[in-house]
Formats: sequence, C-alpha cells, structure tokens
Amino acid sequence: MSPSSERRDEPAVLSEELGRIVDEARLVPLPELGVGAAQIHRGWWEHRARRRRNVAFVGLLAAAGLAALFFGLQPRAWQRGDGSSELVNAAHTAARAESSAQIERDRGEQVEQEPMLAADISIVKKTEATTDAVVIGPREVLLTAGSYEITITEHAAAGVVVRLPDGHVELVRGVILAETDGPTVTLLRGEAEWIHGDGSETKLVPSTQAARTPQAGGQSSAQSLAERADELLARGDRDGAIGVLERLLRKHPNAASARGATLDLARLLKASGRRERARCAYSLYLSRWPYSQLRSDVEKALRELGEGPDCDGLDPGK
Amino acid sequence: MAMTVRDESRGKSSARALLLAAQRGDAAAQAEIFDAHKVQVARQVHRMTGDAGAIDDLVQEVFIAAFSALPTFRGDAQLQTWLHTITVNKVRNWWDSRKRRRAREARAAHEPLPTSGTPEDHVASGEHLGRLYEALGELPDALREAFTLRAIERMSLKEASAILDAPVSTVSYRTRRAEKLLCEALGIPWGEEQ
Repeated sequence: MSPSSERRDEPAVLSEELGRIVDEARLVPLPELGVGAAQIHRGWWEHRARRRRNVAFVGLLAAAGLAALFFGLQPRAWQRGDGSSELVNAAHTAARAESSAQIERDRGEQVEQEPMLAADISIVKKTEATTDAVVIGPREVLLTAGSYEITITEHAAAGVVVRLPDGHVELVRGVILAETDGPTVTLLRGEAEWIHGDGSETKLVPSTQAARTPQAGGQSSAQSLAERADELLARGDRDGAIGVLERLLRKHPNAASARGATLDLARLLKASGRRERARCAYSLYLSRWPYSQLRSDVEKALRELGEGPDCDGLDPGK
Repeated sequence: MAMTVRDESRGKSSARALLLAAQRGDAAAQAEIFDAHKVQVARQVHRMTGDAGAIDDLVQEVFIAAFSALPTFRGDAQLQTWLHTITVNKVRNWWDSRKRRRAREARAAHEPLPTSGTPEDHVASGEHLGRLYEALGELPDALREAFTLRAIERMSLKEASAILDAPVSTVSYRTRRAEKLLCEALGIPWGEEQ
C-alpha cells in the first residue's frame, strides 16, 4: 500500500489549480503525536472491560426474563412451593456465579500483569463495607465497591489511573475521594481529569462538591439547566440563556453538559457583543478541553476577539 | 531458496504470534504494532481531516478499535490495509460529529453556519487549504473518501477500491464527481472544462 508505488491509473485530479492545493495538503508536516502505546493499551483494556460488563448485564437480563416467563407460565406451581422456586433461585445463583467468575477472571488477569502499586501512591478505604481495590499496574487501580481516598505525592514520577464504573480518573497529583456508587469523584487538592466511559473528558476542579456522572442526581440539575437554556434560546431569549448557562457552569463545572455549555455560552456572548466575556469562555474551553476536535475553531474565534487581560474562569480580569 | 521459504514462514508465524499476543492484551505486542503503524495512521488522519487537533483522538480510537477487533482480522489482507479501512470509518464518524456540532452551535448562537472558518486556516501559507477541507466536509461521505484516498493519499484506483470495498469504476466515478463539486465550491475551473 505504498503511495509512492508506480501507477498507470487515470490522474486523480484533472484541475491543475485543485491539484496544486491538494499537493499542498499533502505537504503539511505531521505534528508530533501526543498519544503513546501505554495510553492505547489502557484504552483498549477499558474498552474490553466495558464490553464484558455489558455482556454480563445482558446475560443477567436474559436470566431474569426467563425467570419471569417461568413464573408467568407456572403460577400455581410457585404458590404450591413444589420446588419451582428453588429452580429459579438456582438459575439466579448460576447467573450470579457466572458473573462473579467473570469478574474474578478479569481480576486475575489484571493482577497477573502488574500486582504492585507504586510506593508514591496510597489508597485508603473510607468505610468498613468498602472492598479492596484491585491493583492493575504500578500506577493503575480498579475501585470495586465503596468509598476510597487516593493520594499521590506531590513529586511523584507520574500520575495514577483510577478505574471506576464510568471510565477512569487520571490523578496527576494530590488527593481524590472516589465512590463507586454513582460514581462520584471529588478532587480535594491537586490535579485530575475524569475520562468518562463514552470518551468525554472532564477536568476536575478542587471542590467540596462531588462531581457525578450523568446518571447521578447532582448531574440531573445540570441537565435541567442545559434544557432550560435550550428552551430560552428557542424563544429567542438570548440573555436569559446566557444567564442559565453561566449558572450551569458555576454550579456544575464537572457536569457532562459543561463542555457543550461552555462553547454555547462563548458563542452567545460573542453574538451579543460581550467580547471580553466571550474571550474568557473560549479560553476556559481551551484550557479544560485542550485536545478537543474543535480546538482550531475555538482558536480562530479567540483570534477574532483579539487580545485582552487574563481571565479568572468565566470572568474577565480586572 | 529453501532458506528463503523457511524465513518467510518464520516471519509469518512470528507476525501471527504478535497478533495473537496483542489480541490477548499483551502490552508489549500492542506497543510493537502501534509503533510500527502509528505514523501511517496519524498521517492518514491528518490528510483526511486537515485538523491537527483531531489526530491524537482519532489515532487512539483507530488502534483501540483495531486491537478490539483483532479476532475478526482474517490475516489474508495486510494489517496496514485493514488499519486504513478502520481509519476511514473513524474519520467518517469524525466528519459526522463535526457537522452536527457546528450546526448545533450555529443554532444556539442564531448565526448562520460559517462559510469559511476552517480546520487549518491558522496555517499562514494555507488559507486555501482551509477552504479545501471546508468544501470536503460538505461532500457526501463516499465522494469525500474516494477523493482523499485517491488525490491526497495518492492511492491507486485498486488500492482505494480495496480500502473502500467498492469497484474500481465506482471509485473512479466518485473521485471525478468529488473533484467537480470541489472545484465548484472553490470557484476554480474543473479539469474537463479547462
């Protein structure tokens, strides 16, 4: 598949002018790649774990469906207690056992790869009911069930990847509190980023308020604010929408909808002539999601808005 | 000659072993495959999107998808060709989500979609490159893919046909059609009219 191989094909481009532009496109130098093999491996592992969880979930659903069907067809047998309930219980137990065995197999594979956690990382279980975290690698752990405090020293050689039911958190330095129920992650201090199961990223900010996944209750109010902003826009109330979006970003900076809201806010502010605030919103977007596919579009918008004082989050500097 | 045959056989079996190890999740095997093909995939992504900011994300997606789908890799095609096909699919998704995103932003801001404003317009010498990719983004997927593989990647009709799983004649037609539409969008004379 060598592009330089000799060809006797028809020409790909007939227009000389278009041909020149296309040649120029070919000559644009390739920027340095920012992704490495270790990152790919982690992503693959997470993808596989997610797929297995889905398969186990579908299996359990099927077992539940079969049990429901069985009860539907045999109501009297169930009432008589002639042993059919034991059959269903046995089916449930088998499904649970298979699921547990799968989890154990997964854990076994993880432990085989890298069983020891690096010395500059510590994990503390915050409740008695919390189960042990599974060490996947020297800088990678899986939180199984409960509440954990994970600390990495200030001068650690590298960060730690903390895997959760929804994606993983990359803790560069500092302390996080993580609960698998939700899941919820609170950055107490330091620097961390949450890469959700769907691939979206949230840069965590030190806060006393927990960041939650879209399924959790705290996020639903962020979602309702986003919907409210859409409603206001549909009615043509641009200023109202701006106010709601700003509220969303200040109250729920780590919500899944924060990314889209930041960009929407920036564009609305720009369209309404509030250039300084628009510049801050665009800058905030770039700082929080630096690898966004829309980066070049945002940079262009910033160039159009021109230079200005540094921003404090969404607020223009004094 | 016998030695050559034996060496080729050993080469094939070690390549097979590498793929199997990568499929099992062996980090070293995955790293070897990644290192061998990352530049090719990154270059293809760059040429197909014109957006340097999209490269890391898409390269990551391509390799994760490839390692996840290794059990379905038949081995009768080259790994490079297979990766090319995965890349084309991922880039197609990227264009789709970019279009949706921009339409949503335009609606939110009560602004029409920008007619220019391009992924590569920060390249001082290449303003027209931005216009090229903007116009490419407006093309139907099939035409855009044929054109980028043939014209920008400089693949032969046969190579592009294998990647796109389409007959050579179809790839030829799509490339020509794409060129005509691009010329119209960019306001330049088309080859057959010159």
